[in-house]
Amino acid sequence: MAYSEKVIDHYENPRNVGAFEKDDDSVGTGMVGAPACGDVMKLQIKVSEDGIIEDAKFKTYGCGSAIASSSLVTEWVKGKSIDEAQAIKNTDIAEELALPPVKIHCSVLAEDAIKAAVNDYKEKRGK
Amino acid sequence: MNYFELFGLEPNFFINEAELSSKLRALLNASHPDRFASSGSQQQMIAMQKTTQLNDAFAVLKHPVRRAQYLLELKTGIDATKEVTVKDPMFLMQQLELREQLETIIEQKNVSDLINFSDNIELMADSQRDELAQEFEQVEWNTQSIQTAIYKLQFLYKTLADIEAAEDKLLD
Repeated sequence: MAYSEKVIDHYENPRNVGAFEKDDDSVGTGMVGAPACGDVMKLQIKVSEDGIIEDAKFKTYGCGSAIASSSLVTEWVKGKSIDEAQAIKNTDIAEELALPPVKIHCSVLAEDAIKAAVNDYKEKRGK
Repeated sequence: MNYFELFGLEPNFFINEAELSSKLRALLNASHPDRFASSGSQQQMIAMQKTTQLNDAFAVLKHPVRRAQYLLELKTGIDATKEVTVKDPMFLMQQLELREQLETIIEQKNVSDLINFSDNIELMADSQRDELAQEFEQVEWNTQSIQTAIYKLQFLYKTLADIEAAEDKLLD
């Protein structure tokens, strides 16, 4: 299967790989996995006091499309409010990366990861 | 006829692999297309279809995850092969850490560490497979617990597959 140029770019130069301190009050952590392919994705956001995502990091073990999807999402969420980040749709990710139908679930995983990260942050803050 | 019946087995998660393999050989032998060389093309066609069916069934029954998925669907109609997102932070964090350990071992090209790590994951996968077997032993199946036990096994098998790929690279 041929990957799109954008997928290859994110795969070869993934943005924002790394981790924040999970117990930090301003950090939300989303952990998701896809059993069928065994992909594991961790996506973290660092949120300012006024609810803006200042920084994002990810670590993904999976195929090129899964890595590209999470890399792209960390770029997209920076500067967004947590509510805006939660509104990101997998279809936007799939379209941006030109994912073929068999790889759509990778974009679903990335959407679920950012949602899980925002939920984790909100739970911590008791909002 | 379902895959279990094809091999003359009760639909159980527990399977004797040696018995399964010897049954496959006997059944393949009995339906070998060459046996029907003089029986005309239709008989040969049927024999070939049977061979394919036996091999497909064997592949499913031999593999613990595929066998579990097949048995669950057979008995409950639940399709556990669909793409789903697992959100179990504790379990996934552990899986991520295992992948990170493997990554470090590969970077350091440490063969003995890789072998130890492989043994460790195999033990984890065996115990997870036993947990899955216990779920299937329940009189009343808890289909949610069965599906959870299946996906946990899938992640461990993925790590084992990654280990195998790393072994091929490091040991050749």
